[in-house]
Amino acid sequence: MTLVIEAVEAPRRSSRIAAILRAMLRDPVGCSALVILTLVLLVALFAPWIAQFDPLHQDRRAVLKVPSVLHWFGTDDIGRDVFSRVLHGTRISLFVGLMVVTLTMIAGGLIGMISGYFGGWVDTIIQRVVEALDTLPSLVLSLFIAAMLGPSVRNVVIAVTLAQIPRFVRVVRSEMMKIRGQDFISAARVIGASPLRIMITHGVPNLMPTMLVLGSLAFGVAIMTEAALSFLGVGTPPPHPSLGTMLSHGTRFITTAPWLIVFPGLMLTISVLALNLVGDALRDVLDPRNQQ
Amino acid sequence: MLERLLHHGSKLGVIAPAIALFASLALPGMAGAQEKPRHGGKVTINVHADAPNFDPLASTEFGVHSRLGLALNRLVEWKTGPDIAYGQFVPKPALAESWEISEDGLTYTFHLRRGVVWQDIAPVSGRPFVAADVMATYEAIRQSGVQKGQLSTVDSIAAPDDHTLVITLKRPNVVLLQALAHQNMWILPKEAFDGGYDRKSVVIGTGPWMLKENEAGVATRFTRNPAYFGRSDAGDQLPYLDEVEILPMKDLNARIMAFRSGQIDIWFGPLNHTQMEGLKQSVPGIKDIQTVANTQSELYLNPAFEPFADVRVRQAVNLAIDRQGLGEVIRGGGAIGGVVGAALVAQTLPMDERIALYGTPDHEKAKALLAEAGYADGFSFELTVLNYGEEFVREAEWIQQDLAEIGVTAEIKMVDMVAGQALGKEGNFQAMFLMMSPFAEANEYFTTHFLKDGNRNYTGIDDPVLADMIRDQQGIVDEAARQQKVWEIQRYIYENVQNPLPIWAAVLLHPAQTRVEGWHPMLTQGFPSLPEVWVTK
Amino acid sequence: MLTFALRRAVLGLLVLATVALLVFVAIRFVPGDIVNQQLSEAGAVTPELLEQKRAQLGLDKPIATQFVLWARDVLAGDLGNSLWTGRPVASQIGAALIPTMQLSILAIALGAVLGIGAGVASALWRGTPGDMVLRVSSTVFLAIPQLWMGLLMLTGLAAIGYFIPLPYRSFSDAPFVNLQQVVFPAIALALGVAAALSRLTRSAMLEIIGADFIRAARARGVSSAGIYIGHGLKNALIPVITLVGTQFGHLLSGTVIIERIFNVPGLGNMLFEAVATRDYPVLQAAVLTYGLITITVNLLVDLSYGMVDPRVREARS
Repeated sequence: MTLVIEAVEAPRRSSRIAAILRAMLRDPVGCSALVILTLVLLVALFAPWIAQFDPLHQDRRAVLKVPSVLHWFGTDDIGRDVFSRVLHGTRISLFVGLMVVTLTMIAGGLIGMISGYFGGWVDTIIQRVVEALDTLPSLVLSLFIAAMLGPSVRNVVIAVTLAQIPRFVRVVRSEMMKIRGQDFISAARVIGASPLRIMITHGVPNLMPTMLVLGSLAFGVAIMTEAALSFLGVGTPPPHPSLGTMLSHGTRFITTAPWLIVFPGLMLTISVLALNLVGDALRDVLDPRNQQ
Repeated sequence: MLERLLHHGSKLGVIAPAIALFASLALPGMAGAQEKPRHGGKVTINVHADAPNFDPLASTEFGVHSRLGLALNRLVEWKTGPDIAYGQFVPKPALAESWEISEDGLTYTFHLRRGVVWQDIAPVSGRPFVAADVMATYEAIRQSGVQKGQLSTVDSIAAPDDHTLVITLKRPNVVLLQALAHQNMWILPKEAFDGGYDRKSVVIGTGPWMLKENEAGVATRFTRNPAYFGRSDAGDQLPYLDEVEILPMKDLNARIMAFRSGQIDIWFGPLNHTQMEGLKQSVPGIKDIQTVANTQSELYLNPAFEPFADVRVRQAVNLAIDRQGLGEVIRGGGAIGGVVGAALVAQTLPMDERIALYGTPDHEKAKALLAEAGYADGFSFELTVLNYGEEFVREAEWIQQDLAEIGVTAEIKMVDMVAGQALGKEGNFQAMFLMMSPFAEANEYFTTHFLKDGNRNYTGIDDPVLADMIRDQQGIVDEAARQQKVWEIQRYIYENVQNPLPIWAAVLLHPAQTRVEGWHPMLTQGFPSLPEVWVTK
Repeated sequence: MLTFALRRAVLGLLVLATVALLVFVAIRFVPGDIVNQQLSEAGAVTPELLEQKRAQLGLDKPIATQFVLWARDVLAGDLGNSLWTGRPVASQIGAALIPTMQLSILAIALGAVLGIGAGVASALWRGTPGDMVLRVSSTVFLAIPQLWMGLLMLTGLAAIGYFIPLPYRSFSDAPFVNLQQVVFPAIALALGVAAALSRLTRSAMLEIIGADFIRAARARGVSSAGIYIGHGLKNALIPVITLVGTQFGHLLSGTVIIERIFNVPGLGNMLFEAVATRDYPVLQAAVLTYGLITITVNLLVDLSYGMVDPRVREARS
């Protein structure tokens, strides 16, 4: 999450970021969440250096080995090291999550601000489109889009992003409507600032807390959706180790080699858990009612 | 003889086709040999999909034809028994009791079985079976049936009387009997074609069971047809079983659990050795029947993509792939692929020759061939992989690593089966990895893969010499001479065509519950040995 | 209030029509059609045979014509026949809808009971170890993907030697078998719902416990349990109902995966099949059904606001 914050707000608001971080670190839950998330991020970032095996290399002499000192999480049905695959799988999951969150925050944020700022027919059209995306359950929508585009990491990002945008747009729009009428916006309009400028200089900073909370939750949802799509065979294509693909491989060995589903699932849960906790902590820190 | 299942020793890469397991001869029948078959009872079989509908002319789908086999008959069928291999076609009189073939091989006269009646279902309501029914079925197939290719050499069909059928051919076709015994060639009553009933939903046949109920996604249920004509060799009225239930189950785990808990009696579909071991532990006395699949994986190399236009590159790809390792690790056994699938034991090349041609990887030689063709530094291509399930995808990943070792990079692109078939027909791929149809005759492999308009000719092969050879073998009546010709064609293809590359025919495990006797899996669809299956309790 | 909800529903239907058009067009651009599938294993297929089959199914007409024909039939109440089975789509959808709705409703009910119960308990026990345990477990359950939960449940059941009976039976047909078949997938779905609901119920309760009218009630001498249940829970219900509504969407998403893992012949499995075989009418009908469910659930949520909180009713009319 720190990455996202820097990307959008640095460096002008760095003092505020530091304040948020400090507040989170004071809260035991927020603190542990940050630690777990940092660990997961580090693991993903440095996977190639941590993993002692190539996640794609098939050691055809060591098939379906139980977890051991050499293969911490065992090996899969063609002798690939599950530990390395879980690490690299996490990398893919987080990459997809990060892409989805970034794209959703930019697109959803922008569309939501436009909708809320202008109102009128612009708002009506945007709302109808958002509703259209929202008529289908998000996984059904993602599944449909991914199945149409064919399995690839890029297509997963597109499919998941489109399913995540409606919620962003809706929340950002209502927040924008709240601040639209406030004095500092009217003042800016009077001195002739363009709508885009107003949105960037006043909209973004004011909406950022909400977007950060939404973003951290969307991150978790994105990771789970990627896993689900890969599980259904329309996500990350082989031979790349996605956690969902690994789970789907593992289902064939559910009684004979349970490590194939235990470890990828565990990693998936830990990642989502850390993201959810960070989201919770952020919400607490940013909630004005808690800021006495 | 029967195809052996290759097994490796512990050292991979060393070819050790040591342990020979005899397909379908293994354990079944041993216990039952002392006991006499008895009537009654029910078995449950799982298949992976529903029957979309019951119209045999509308699709070649397995879900349809496997179920139809319980209620319908063909003119000629596949004989089954303990001494008949999984992929061996021994013609068995069914609705035709006997037949004669003219000297020139152009006229087939079938004497239809007398005393056969249709199942007592309106509007046919138990009327006798006559030649007009066969005429109506075959005419409808020739007009618009998906299986019309089976009758492509037929010139005319006539019925001089109610119990005789004469088929005249345009040119000699030694595989006609087998074409009539093809899994899609069910005979329906003539009412099915004159609007008497809707053959999509109503099944009226002459077969051992009648369709009682079809609940989509749940079960297809059959009950005994008391008027069935079939008798066992010992003279028992068939079938033995009162009821058969077919369950569509897509999910492998659901299937495994259903088998373990005794809800499935006869397993159908993919299962690997690890899973089989698990089943053995929880189901004592399980029948462990193994055969080689009649489908094989094949790798198409499109000459429209420059490197693959050179036969040396295709040879190099062939030499890169360690098929026996692949078969052992991923499939836990099976047989090395040939141009003609390994399950067709009398028609595929002898095993030693297949191992020499397709099962002896040599990376040095492969690199030398690549260098000769001007690709000393290798190249990369997009490998379109049809999603035929997890193990199939593992095969693709295995090939990917093998190719990497000769400097060739394959980028896997996954597509679903329907898209893959469309891309194949358009020739819209660089290389494509897929599972071949379950063919039952060498002629089917040849005509679909290597003739200009062949359904599986995805790379535009148009070789007049080869086409002539393929036509020739269709007219050779003498069995030994035809076998030589069929082998000669395969050797020609290895030398000159090398496309698609046959990869592997997996071992098929057919576990059955202890109480099931007389079960012999066969490659043709419709469970042909089921009428003779009986249960001990 | 009613007019507001109805207007939303009507707008929803218009939006759904647009979605239907998009899906209709989009799926036809995916390579391959059902004819490829039907003839996939046929030995000799001529191009004429392919064309003949396409013409029989009406797939040779321009997409615009196909859409107009389809839309006309749908408006007349006819969803058409499946290209794959030839049977009416409506009956197939009906058959698939039953297990999906059964799963979803059971999961929502289980989730609501567990979640609201845990949330209330958590609020009442605020700060105690019991509260701690409930909060931690709800946080953890919220993070466990339904996919993994389903697989773990299957592994666990197999390990203790229990097998869910097969094949699928409807409740009216064989209630006991049916219950065994839906209870486990429903639990796998419900745990996430319960976790989300318990967190929300807890915070809503705490907020309301601190509110003026509760203090007033306490001053009037109403007993403290009575206050929490009577006033607190009732007022806390508004956000909870909203969440139940949104959770229903998640739940429908979850059924797609869970139906597959537990072999339940529901809407999700049908949609997946329809995409794989390019059975356009079934696919389109499944999308319409999902849309209608969403619209109905939104309508119900809207209406229930008004019932629980009269202020909303006034504000919106």
